[in-house]
Amino acid sequence: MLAVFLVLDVLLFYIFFESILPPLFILIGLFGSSNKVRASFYLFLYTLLGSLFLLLSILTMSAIAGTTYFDVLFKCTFEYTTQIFLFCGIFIAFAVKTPTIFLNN
Amino acid sequence: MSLLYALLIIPVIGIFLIATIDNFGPTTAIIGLQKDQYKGIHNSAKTRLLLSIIGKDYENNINYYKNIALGATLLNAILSLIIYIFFDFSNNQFQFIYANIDLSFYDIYLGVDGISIYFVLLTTIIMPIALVSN
Repeated sequence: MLAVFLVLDVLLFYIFFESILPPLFILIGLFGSSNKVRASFYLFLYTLLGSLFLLLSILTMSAIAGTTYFDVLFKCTFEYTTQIFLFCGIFIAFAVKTPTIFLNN
Repeated sequence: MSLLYALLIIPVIGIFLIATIDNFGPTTAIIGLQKDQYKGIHNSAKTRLLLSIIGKDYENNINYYKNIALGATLLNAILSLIIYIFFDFSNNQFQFIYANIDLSFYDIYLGVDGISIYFVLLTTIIMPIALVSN
């Protein structure tokens, strides 16, 4: 959890960001209220689907910039349309984690 | 400056202390019980005796776990406050960079900037609070 904010690599950020998913799955599956197994499976699949777009965005960035290091990525300039697509991908991934309306289950 | 590295290692040390010291703890016993239940002998006197022994041990272990967890998270909170104090806010670059160049297969670089320092503080302060409130 802490490593998400400390790493300087987008791919490592993705790995640590996703590493909270199995504990979340186990916690909901064990200590949930009604229909907990079903709920935990739904949450797992839904969050995984959301973070797929984050992974695609990260792969696009690393393909364009040639690196996943934050400090280099900050100094890169992407095309405007690419930026829009990257924003959409990253926004979907973070919107399913946060209680955004129409995207939360 | 490897303060951030210590911030990541301290919880791992805590987990290590919890996981290694008790080999015959509740988790092992519960897994064993479930295997017995699968065979259909969960009502035998042997299992009942085992359960009574675990019951005593379980309380001690829970307190031990809680103390270790609280100690590790408090240490982490103090460390993150030290990082916050020594953080240079007039700078917009990454600070406290820890470059692990000994690992040849992947570069694990650690660092904080002006936004992530607050999230680190939030995470490390909220964990002891959550443990104390339990």
